[in-house]
Amino acid sequence: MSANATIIEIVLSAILINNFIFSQFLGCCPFLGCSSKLDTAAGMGLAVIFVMGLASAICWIVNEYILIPLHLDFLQTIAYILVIAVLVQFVEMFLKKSVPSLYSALGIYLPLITTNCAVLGVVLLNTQYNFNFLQSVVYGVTGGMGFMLAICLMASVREKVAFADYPESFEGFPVALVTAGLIALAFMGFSGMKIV
Amino acid sequence: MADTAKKSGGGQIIKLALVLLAVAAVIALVLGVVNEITKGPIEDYLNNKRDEAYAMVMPGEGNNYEELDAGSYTNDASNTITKLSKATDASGNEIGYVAETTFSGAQGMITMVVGLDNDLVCTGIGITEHSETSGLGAKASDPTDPFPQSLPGNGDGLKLSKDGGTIAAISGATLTSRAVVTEIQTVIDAVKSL
Amino acid sequence: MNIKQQFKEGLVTNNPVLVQLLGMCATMAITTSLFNGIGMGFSVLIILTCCNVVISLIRKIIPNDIRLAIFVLVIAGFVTIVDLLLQAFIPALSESLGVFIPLIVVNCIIIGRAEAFCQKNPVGASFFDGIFQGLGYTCVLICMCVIREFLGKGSFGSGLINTTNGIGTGSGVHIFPAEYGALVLTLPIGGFITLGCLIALMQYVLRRSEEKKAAKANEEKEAANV
Repeated sequence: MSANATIIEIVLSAILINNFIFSQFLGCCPFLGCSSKLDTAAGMGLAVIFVMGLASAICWIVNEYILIPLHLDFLQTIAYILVIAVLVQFVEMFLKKSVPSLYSALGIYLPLITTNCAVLGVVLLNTQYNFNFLQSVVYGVTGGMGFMLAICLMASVREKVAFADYPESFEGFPVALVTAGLIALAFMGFSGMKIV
Repeated sequence: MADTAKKSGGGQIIKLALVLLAVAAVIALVLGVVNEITKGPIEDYLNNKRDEAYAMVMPGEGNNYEELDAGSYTNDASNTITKLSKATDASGNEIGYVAETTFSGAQGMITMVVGLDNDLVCTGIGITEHSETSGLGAKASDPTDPFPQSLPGNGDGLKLSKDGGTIAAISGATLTSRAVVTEIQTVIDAVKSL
Repeated sequence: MNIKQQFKEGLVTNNPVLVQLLGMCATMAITTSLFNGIGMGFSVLIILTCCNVVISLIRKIIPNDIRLAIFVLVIAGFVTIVDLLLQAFIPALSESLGVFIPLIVVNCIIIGRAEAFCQKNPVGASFFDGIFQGLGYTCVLICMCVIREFLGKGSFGSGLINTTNGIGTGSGVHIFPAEYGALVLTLPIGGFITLGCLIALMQYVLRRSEEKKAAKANEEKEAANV
C-alpha cells in the first residue's frame, strides 16, 4: 500500500487481503482471549473499531503537527502509546457516564485495548505508509472492522469446536490456534485480489 | 485510577501530573542522547545500501549519477518514480539511466532501483525494501533467483509470458512479478519522454 | 524465591508463551528464520530485564494511580532505545523484524511481568526474573523458528550460518531443497499451527509430570498403609 492508495484499496486491503489478524498477526492476544463466545467477541470488535479509528485520527495529528515540525520523530512510539492509553481511559470514562449499558457490556475489555497491538500497529503503519488524514482514519476504522470480522468468525467456529473430539492435550488454546490457522488459510485466498 | 485521583482533590492530581511529567522528561532526555548517537550510522547505512543497489544495476566503477529534474520526464499517474538520474562512467561517457522507484507489490510497497542502458534496455534491478511473502514474492529481491536474473537484456515492451511477453514469472507470485515488470516499463516510458 | 526456582519457572513451568500465553503476536509473526528468532528473543530479553530493574527501583515512589502509565512510559523508552540501536548497528535485523520492534511496547510479557512481579519484588529478584523470562521467550522463538524453517524451507540457521555479506545475509545450511518444503509453514497459517502444537506438547508434558507425581504420592500412601 502506498501514500496514493485509493480509499477502496485501503478498505479491501484492511478487511480482507491484509487482515490484521490472519495476515499480519496484529492483535492476536485479545483475538484468542476474547473469542470463546460470540457476544463478547462482537463487543470487543466494536470497541476496537472505535478506538482504532479515533487513535488513527489523533496520532496522525500529533505526528504531523507536533512531532515532525519539532524533529522529534524518534519519540513516535512513546507519543502514540500515550495517546492510545489516554484515549482508552477517556472512552471508558465517557461510556461509563453516558452509555452505561454499552460500558457494562464491554466490561474488562476496554482497558485491555491499550495493550492490543493492532491499535499501536495501525498507527505505526499509517506513519510508515505516509497516509494522509482521511486515509489514516479509513485504515484505522476498516482495520478494526477486519479485526471484528476475524474475531466473530473465530468465536462462531470455536463455539462448535468446543463439542468436537480432539486430543486432550489440545484443550483450550492449542485447538483455538489450529482453528485460527485454518481460517488464516482460507483468508490467503484473498491475497490474490488486486484492485486495478 | 482516575476516580481515586478525583476524590483526593486537586493537589493530588497536580502531584500525579508532576511525577508523570518528570518520568517523561527523563525518558525523553535519554532518547534524545541515543538518537544523537545513532543518527549518523543509520544515515550511513541507508546511503550505503543505495550505493550498493546502484552498483548492482550499473556495472563499472567510479560512475557518476546526475539527478534529473522531476519535471523533465513524464512519471506515471501514481508517481512511482522518486528519483531518475543520468549515469556517466569514470571517463564521462553516458552509459544509461538509473531510477529509484516505490510502487505497490502483492503485499505492500516495494522500493526498487532500476538500471537502463542508452538503448533503454534493462541492465538490472535491485530491490531494497519490500514486504512480499517470503518464499514466493520475496524471491524477486534475491539476486540469485532466476526471475531477477532474467530481467537484464529486456527492452521497451517487456511483459510476462502470461501477458504475451517473454519473461517467466516467479511461480506462485505472478502479482509481484507483474508489478516489477510493469514498473520497469514505467521507467522506460519516463526515460523515453526526456 | 531462589534463583533456581525462578530459572525453572521462566523456562518451563511458567514459560511466558507456552504457559502464560503472553506475547503471541510476535511469536507467530517473526519466527520464519533463526536469525529473526534469536534477534527478537534477545531484544525482548534486554528490554524486559532493563524495564524490570528500573520499575523495581522506582516501585516505591510511583503513585499507585498512575503506575500503568509510568510502566508504559518506561517500556516505550527502552523499546525506542533498542529500536534505534538496532537500526544503527544491526540494520539487517531491524529490517526483517520491521514494525514488530516498536510493537514490543505492547507485548504483554513486559507489562505483565511489571505488574505481576517487579512492583512487589526487590531489584535483584526482578533482574533475574527478566533474564529467565526473557530466556524462556527466546527458547520458544528458537523452537518455532527451527521447526518452521526446516519444514518450510528445508534449511537451518538462515541469516546466521554461511554469512557472506555482513550480519543477516547468510543462506543457512540446506538439508533438503527448498522446493520440497511445505511453504505453508512459513506463511501466517504455519505460525498459528506450529504454536498450537507446541502449546499442546507443553500441556501434555506438564500433565504427564503431574500424573507421575500424583501416582508417586499414591504409591507412597499405599506403602504407608500396608
